[in-house]
Amino acid sequence: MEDFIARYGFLFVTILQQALLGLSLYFPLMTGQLSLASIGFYALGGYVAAIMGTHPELAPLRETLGFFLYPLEWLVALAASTLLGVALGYPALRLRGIYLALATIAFVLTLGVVVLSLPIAGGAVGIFAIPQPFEDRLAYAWFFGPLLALTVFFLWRLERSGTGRLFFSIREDELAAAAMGVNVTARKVQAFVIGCALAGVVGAMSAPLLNTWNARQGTFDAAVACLAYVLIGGARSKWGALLGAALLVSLPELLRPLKDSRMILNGLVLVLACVYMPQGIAGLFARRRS
Amino acid sequence: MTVVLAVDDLTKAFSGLMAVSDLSFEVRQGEIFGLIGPNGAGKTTLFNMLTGLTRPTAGTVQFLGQNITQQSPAAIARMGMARTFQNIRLFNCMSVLDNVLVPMHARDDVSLWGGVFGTARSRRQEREAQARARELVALVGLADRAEASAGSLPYGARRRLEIARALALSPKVLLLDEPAAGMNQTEKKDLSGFIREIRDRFDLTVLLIEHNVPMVMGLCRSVAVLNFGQLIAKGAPEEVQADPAVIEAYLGVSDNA
Repeated sequence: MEDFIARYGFLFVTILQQALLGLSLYFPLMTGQLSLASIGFYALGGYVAAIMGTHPELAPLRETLGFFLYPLEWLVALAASTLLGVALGYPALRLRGIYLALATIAFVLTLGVVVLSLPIAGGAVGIFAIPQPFEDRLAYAWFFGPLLALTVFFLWRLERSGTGRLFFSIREDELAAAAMGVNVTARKVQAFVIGCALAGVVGAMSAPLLNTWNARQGTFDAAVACLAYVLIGGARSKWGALLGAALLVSLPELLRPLKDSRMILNGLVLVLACVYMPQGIAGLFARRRS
Repeated sequence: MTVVLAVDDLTKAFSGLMAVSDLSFEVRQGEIFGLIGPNGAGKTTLFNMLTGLTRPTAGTVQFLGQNITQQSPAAIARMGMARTFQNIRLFNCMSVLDNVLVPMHARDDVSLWGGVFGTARSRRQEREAQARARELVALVGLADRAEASAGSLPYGARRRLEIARALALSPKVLLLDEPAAGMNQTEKKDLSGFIREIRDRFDLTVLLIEHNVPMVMGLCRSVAVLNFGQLIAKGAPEEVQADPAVIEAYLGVSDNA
């Protein structure tokens, strides 16, 4: 049993963490907007937590707060991501489709360069020896688990509310939504900022888990991985991001016995999934129901 | 009778092509105003300019005494200008009821947090919107399909749903873009009756684009005829019908005239 936890505990926590990142993409997707900015906000949140956890001048604060340092890190990351999200959202969400995706990728890359040249972020080396609240990696499920439950509950309420219907109306037909009085840009920004804020908090939770934080946390590859969760899982349902993350994070582990050929099989699964399940895994369930 | 909609020298040029040029007319409270003209005459472009979806090159639109030429589509819609689309644009994956709820939520400018946390205010807004949406869905005869997805409805029902969705804005002016397209004679007659009924019931002013001349003649007391973006005739249906310019636009010039 201990052996099992040692081996799969980290995997389990990673699934929860990546599912949250996938869900942060689902918020803008509710309004039909494909944004890849999440990973930038994840990196930002991580830096907030890393700096608050290691900066020498904050040592007295850490001593007084004890374990409450971590919730404070989440709140600061939440505030920083929200502010940056609003600032980025208003200009970016005037763009449509592939242009929005490109603009958000440009943001992620820019943030990476900015971080490299900031002394407080530790430059290329990054920040290491970030204090950890738990010895056991599986224990981080106490961070990510409740946040995931909260996010799913939030989405469940949102999708049944008036705001949820307004979001979906923009996804279905932006022009018709505008003609029906929907304030399209403001609603898109709302959805986008919630996604940014969530990604920021996930980053703040992840910095202690990974112990080090550097510019490699917010790369193009990571952004595309998040996109893949949503594509494989299904972009039109909140369960899509969850299923996609669970599948794509665990697949390389499950295929480990195949040694080097596992990445080939991993890639093959992705390609086949895109071809035969354009609506994602969640789309298959939806079709069966109707 | 007060003027609800005044169009003054309205012009739209698409890279040199004059889709609409120097168009001026007024629509009075309670009227059913017909807009007819051959394909490509600029009728839909006019609707798009009235609702803010297309920016005019020149000219102004006054709605309830206010200049709305530079307003956003959402702001114009919330002032009470609702429309349907020639090529039906429903929110296809959403239910019939949700389609009708969208304009009401937009008018209420519903709060995201209020909805998620279920505040008293947002619960009341939701309750009132649901009740009114059910009324409107019943009015267009879709009560038993309220939970079906809009895209799954047959053609005629989708047209009716679009009218219900427009009525959900509690509009003062309703723009109908070829509502009778693809309907048979009986359906067209029913639709004419229905348009009169909602005009009286909701105190509407209706602008109607329609190709079916008998229907326009039966419904409207004033008609404007567009041809190549220009207003070629305006007035009571009988006068317009006899106008040589209109006959020429529709039938061409006779050789032995």
